[in-house]
Amino acid sequence: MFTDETMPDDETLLANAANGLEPGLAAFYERHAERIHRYALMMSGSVVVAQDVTQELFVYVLENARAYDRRRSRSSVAWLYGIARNKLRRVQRLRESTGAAVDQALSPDSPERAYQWSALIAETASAVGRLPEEQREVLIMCGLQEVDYATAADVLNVPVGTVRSRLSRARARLRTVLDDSETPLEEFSYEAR
Amino acid sequence: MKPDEPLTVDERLAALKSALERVPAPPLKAGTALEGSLAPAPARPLRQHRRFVLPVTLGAAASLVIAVLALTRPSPTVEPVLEPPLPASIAASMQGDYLAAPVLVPVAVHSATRGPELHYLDAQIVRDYQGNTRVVFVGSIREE
Repeated sequence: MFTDETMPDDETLLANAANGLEPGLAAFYERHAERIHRYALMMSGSVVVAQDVTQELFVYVLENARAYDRRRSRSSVAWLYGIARNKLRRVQRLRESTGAAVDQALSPDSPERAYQWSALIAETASAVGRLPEEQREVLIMCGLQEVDYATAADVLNVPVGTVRSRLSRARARLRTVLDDSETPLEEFSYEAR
Repeated sequence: MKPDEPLTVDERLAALKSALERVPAPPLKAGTALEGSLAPAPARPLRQHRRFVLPVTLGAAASLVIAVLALTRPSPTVEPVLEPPLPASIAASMQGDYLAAPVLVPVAVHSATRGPELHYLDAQIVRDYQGNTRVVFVGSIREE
C-alpha cells in the first residue's frame, strides 16, 4: 500500500497509466484533481463547467499519458494547468458564440452554495471573476493555489516578471473594486461555521 | 483583525482561499475507468465508456440507444417506454442546477432475434454551461 510519502512521482504514475500498471492514473487523479477542479471552478464560475473540464482533462491525460515526457515538456503541474486552460478557453469561446449564460457557482442565491460560501466569500469570488482573464488566472494560480511564479510563467508562456506584474495589478484592481464593500468581521460567517 | 473593521483584500483572499480548499474534487462520472482497463498500448481505451449527451427527450434517447445497440444486436429498434411528463423521480432530479442523483431511463428494445426487451440506461440529469437541461448517459445499459 502506498502512502503520500511513498507514492511514485507524477512521471512514474503517468508511465504506469500508459502501460496499464498501478499505481497509475487513479493515484495521479487523487493527487491533482482537487487543484484542477478548483482552478476551473474559479476561472469559469460554474460548477458544471468545472466538473466537465476536470473530467475531460483526466480522460485526455489518460489518452496521452504515454506522450508525456518530462524531459521535453513542462512540469506535470504546468502541463495540467495548460490543458485546463485550453479547455476552459474552448468553453469560453462557445459561451461567447452562443451568448449562453452560465450557472453562477459562487453565487449565494442557491441554498446549497450559500452553505458553502458566505456572502462575503461569494462577493470576493465574484470580484475575482470580474478581473481581466490574464489577471484572474494569475491571481487564482499564485494567490489562491500557491502555484510558484516559475510554474505560472511556464503555463502562461510569459516571463516571471510578467506574472508578478499581473498579480500586482490584480490585487490593486481587487482593492479598488472591494473598497466600497466594507463588510465588518462580525458579518463574516464562514470562519464561524 | 478587529470585529468592526472591514477586511482587507488580503484577508478576503485568504478567506476565499480557505473556502476554496474545502471544495472537493468531483467524483469521476460513472463509466470512466481509470485503472484496470488499459492494455499496454491503449488505442482508445475509453471509447466504450464515453459519455453521451443529448437533450432530455426520450425520442432522442431512443435514437442514441439504437446507435449503441447496433453494435451488439442485429437490426434493433428502440421505443421509449415513458412519455413526457417525466416520472416524478426524474422530474425531481431536475430541480437543481447541480449534478443530480443517477437516474435510470427505461427503454424498450426490439430486436429481430431476441424480441422486445426492457432495458435501463444509467443517466444523470445535468444543466450544461449553456443552461440547457440534459440527460447525460454514462454508457451502460442494464437489462431487466
